[in-house]
Amino acid sequence: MTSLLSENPNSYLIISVLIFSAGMFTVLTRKNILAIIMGIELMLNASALNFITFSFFRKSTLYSGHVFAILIIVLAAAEAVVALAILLAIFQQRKSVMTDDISDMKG
Amino acid sequence: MDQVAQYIWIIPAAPLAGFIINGLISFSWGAKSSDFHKKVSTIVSPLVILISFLVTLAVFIQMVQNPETNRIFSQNLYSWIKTGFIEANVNLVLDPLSIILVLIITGVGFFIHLYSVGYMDHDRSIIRYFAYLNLFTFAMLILVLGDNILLMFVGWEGVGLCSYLLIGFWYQNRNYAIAGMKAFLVNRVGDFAFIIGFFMLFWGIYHYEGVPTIAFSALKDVMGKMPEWYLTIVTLMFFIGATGKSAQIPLYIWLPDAMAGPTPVSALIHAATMVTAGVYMIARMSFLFIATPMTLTVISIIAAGTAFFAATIGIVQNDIKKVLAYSTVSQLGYMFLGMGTGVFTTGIFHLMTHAFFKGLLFLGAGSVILASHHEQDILLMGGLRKKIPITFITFLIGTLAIAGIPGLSGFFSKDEILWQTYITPNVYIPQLPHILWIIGLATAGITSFYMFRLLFLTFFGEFRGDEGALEEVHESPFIMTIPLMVLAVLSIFGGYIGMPEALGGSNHLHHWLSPVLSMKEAVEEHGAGHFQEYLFMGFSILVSLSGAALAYIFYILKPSIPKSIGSKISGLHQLVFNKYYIDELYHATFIKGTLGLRMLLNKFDQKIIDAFVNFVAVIVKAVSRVHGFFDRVVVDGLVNFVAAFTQYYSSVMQTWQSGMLNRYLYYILGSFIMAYVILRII
Amino acid sequence: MFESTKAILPELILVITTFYLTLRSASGRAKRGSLYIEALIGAICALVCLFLFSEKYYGFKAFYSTIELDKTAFFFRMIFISLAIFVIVMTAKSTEISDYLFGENLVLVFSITTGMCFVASSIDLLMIYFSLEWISLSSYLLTGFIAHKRSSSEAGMKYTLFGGIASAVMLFGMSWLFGVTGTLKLDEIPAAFAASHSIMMMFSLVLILVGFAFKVAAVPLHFWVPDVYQAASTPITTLFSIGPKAAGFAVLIRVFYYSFYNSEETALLMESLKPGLEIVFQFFAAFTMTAGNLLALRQENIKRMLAYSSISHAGFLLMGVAAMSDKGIQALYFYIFIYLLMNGGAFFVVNLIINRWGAENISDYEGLGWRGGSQSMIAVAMSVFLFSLAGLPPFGGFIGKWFIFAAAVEKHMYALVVVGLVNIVIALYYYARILRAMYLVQTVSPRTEIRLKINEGFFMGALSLSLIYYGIFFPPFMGYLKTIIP
Repeated sequence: MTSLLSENPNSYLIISVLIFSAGMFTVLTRKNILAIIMGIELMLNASALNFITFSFFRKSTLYSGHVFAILIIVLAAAEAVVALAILLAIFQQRKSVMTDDISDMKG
Repeated sequence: MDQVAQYIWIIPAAPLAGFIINGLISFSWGAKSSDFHKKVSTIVSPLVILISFLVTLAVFIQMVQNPETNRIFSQNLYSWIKTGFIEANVNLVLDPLSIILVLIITGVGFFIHLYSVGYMDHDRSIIRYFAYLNLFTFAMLILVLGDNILLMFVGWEGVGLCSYLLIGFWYQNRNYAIAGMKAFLVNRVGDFAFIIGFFMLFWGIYHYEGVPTIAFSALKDVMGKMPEWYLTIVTLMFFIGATGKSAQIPLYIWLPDAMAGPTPVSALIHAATMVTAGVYMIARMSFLFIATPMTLTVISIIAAGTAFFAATIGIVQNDIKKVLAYSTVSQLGYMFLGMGTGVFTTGIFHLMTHAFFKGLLFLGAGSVILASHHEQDILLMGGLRKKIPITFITFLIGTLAIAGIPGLSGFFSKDEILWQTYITPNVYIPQLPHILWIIGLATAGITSFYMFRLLFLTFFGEFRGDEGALEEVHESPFIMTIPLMVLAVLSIFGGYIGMPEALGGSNHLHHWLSPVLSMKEAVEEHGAGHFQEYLFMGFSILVSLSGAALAYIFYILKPSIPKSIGSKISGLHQLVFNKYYIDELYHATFIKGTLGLRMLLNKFDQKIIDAFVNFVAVIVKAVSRVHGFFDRVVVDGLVNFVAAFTQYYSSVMQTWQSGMLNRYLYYILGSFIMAYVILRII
Repeated sequence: MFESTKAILPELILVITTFYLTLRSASGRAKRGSLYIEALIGAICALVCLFLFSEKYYGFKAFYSTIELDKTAFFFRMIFISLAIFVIVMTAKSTEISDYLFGENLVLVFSITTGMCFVASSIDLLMIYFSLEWISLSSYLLTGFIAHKRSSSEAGMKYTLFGGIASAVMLFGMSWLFGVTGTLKLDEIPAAFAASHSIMMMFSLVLILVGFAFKVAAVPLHFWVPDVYQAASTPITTLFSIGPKAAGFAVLIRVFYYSFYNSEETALLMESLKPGLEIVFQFFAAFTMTAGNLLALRQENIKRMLAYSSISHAGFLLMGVAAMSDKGIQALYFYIFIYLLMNGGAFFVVNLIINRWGAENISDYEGLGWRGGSQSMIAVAMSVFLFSLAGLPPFGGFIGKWFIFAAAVEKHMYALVVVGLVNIVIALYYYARILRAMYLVQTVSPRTEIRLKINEGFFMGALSLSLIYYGIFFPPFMGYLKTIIP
């Protein structure tokens, strides 16, 4: 099992940073709310990958990193449900899923 | 700690309870209160003061029995403020100094309450009156008993408030209400200085001594490293506070007007207790004042000036209460003169005897006023002695006491002050003690003159009022004459506890107080034994008697003289009669000045600020055109630059709150990058 | 073996009530009144259990040492459950919450309360993340679940996206912290710290701080606040303005003060982090109070104004954190408690006016003090709350501010203190606007007269009296708060 993985965690960490940056970039640049939600998911998954990597390479006996990763998946799903439910209501009201169109309240 | 100490809390608590009861009755029923309510009020109100007095007396007896080292009783009620810097407890302390004040406040206070029952009998607001009077007693007790400056300040402001309420008690009369306002405003000036002094002292202690405390008992021990110049400013600030409360130059102007209040109030607040708070404060902080000869010199000069100045005004006043008011200002000057020597017991001694005889004189004046149906002009009185004999005799005793006739209390205390003034050397001006002594002596003569003038005009000669008015003059009821008699006895014998050794006394008061006061050692021996002291006593007796004799000649033997003199020096007479135009001067300078400044600021607001705001607005508009970003910036209707400034930034912030999610994210990211850059730079 | 379960009895009752209410409201036939009573019973039971059984478990680490039920946790749980009761009472007759949403609304209130209780007792990164998300998800729903209201879904959406991003950033920080130290337990982190990792440590702590700052609504993560507070129904706004904010502070203090600052073995850690952290908190505090106040200045909608004012209060609380001393934390706890009373009171009045008049602008309060009867009493109570919020003596708010300033002065943060003082003046201005409307405007437009119910009068009176009480007799409570800091 171990032999399938490389000896140091750097490649995993680099990938996780890349994923996080991609998520951040998406969140910052896209105006479609669905895309922003996807960006958030990416950021969450980068963290999950980090946890797994550290847990594995530090040979944590409690597997706390693994547990954390599973928890992240669960909570990410819950968050997506909430976000999409509200987005649905917004779409029904305004026929749009763009952030520009949900700026009634300001000042 | 002795058993009695745990009952100290009763002393202020009883008047507070009285205030609450009276206040509730007055608040609940007000004008609709019945005779029953009135009766409750008139019983409760003196009773609570009596309770305080008895408790004080019990403590006093214990204190006398204790050895000198064990005469400080304190009771910590409540930890009031406690932070790293400041620790203020509601700690009540009875020591040889404060107990004298408390005995005066509750003892004399009790009789004045009793007197008030008779005096205010027909006033429909009597319950409100007693509520205020009880509240005043409570505040005064807090002022005296408090063990730290903060607590003292609470009492200080409390008595100021009650004084204001009671001066304007008959607020339906516009002038009376204005008099109350004037007292309040003038006192604020003093209080402001007091607060500055307090903050400076606290900062100084923190900075120089490193022990942050404001408790008097602790302060006394930590003082030492504070430089003298700093201490001088602090003590001067406190003294300015005292000039406000104790009616000294330049802030004395409120006291004569304060006579608008009911006469017992004048007796209690504006003669016996509140106005002496400044003297007490100096005694309480004697360890500060003794270290600053400069401040003591200033106090002496101002005090002598006040004493003389007010006495001269007293000569020409015709309102019986106004005469007494100026006399009070003058006598307060004496007290401060005593404080200024650094031998603080003299001032306290005079404070005590003054409480007796001035309280007596005011109550007597109240009795006269009531007897002659609220007539206060002594030119319209005369020959009243047969009609109101008790009032006359007691008033006579009071007059003899204040005039410094030997054997009565005023003589001893006044003489003690003059003597100490003379023999205490001054480091800055060597001749100053002699000058001050001469002024003091002259003041004693003038005092004697105007007091006997008052006595003669009121009680002797022919009645000068309306026809038939004399028939209606009647002696006051018992409840009012008993306090008169008690105070008369005190005015006679009150002086013996401070009788100087030169006269065979042992000056109990001095020995009693010296453990708690930091002061110069009183110079007892001065050259050839007590010879000089006897000589000086002789001087002052002579001056007092000649003042009295002069008054006798002027107002009994040859009543035509005053008029002719008055017309010969009409200019001077006018000047003095109009109180040296000080009120007018203040009006022309400070009040007009303040109003003028206000107008100026108003102009400034209109012209400069407006222009500035408009200028800013123009700039902002120009900028906003460039950016197209500040459209919602509105800078109109605002004359205040600061407000405009804040409002402006407020609106800028509002434009950031645009409702656009992506922008928010950029703002957040941007601010984090900026914060990072800033943190890198610093 | 059920020791852990027994220890969280109050939370357990809250969870059971949550499920019970879910089932009841799902049946669709439940009466509003009976739901209200059942919810109230559940919350009061939880509070009673908290008071009865929590002392036994002081210092007990439950569920594999992920939560610790210490005195601090007790204090916060007490605040949260009391707040829940208060909010339930406010929702009872709220016209903003329709009958068919009432059950769901209660369910979510219970859910968020449970989450907050867990946040206050978490001592493990996993539990912190989990319970913070618990609060967040419930609050997203509470904001956005009024589907027919445009502003509700808009604010809910923004809140969700904001919260999602903030928590994702925080999570990323946590993952790095886990990588650097190899543990998720707060008390093991300082021991596992090595000096060579200090940059990585700082980086991950700042990312974690972003998540906490979002919860306490510190500038610049405050953009969601006004929209959410304005769009949510007033009882829920009350909940949001106090609950999650207090929870955020609880976890902030637990992570940055209790674990990193307050123990002996953290000397190495603190040496490298302390200067940076203190400056970061000072910046947060200064910007948060200033921006909140400036934004509140020109608002017309009273809920929006109070939203901004709550941001500035968070700034004052952050000042207590910035002091990084026992005194500062103690002052902060006191302030949070007072804030519960005064902000709760202010929103209670706002809720009352909205329910009776349907009006939520400052101009609607004009002449309230002169209408007589109950309305004058409401105006008096509102004045007490506003005075306390503005920080004037003799009300509790003054004492809270006083102690926070004292703690900051003690740490020589003079610049921050000056900023704070300026802010008090600015705040005075906009609180005075409401007072002005209530008392200085005497032209009264005709409206239906408000008559106070007994329980409403009781709540208002109790809140204002306790504000005065804690403004004068604060030392005992202050002394108690001193004991809850480990």
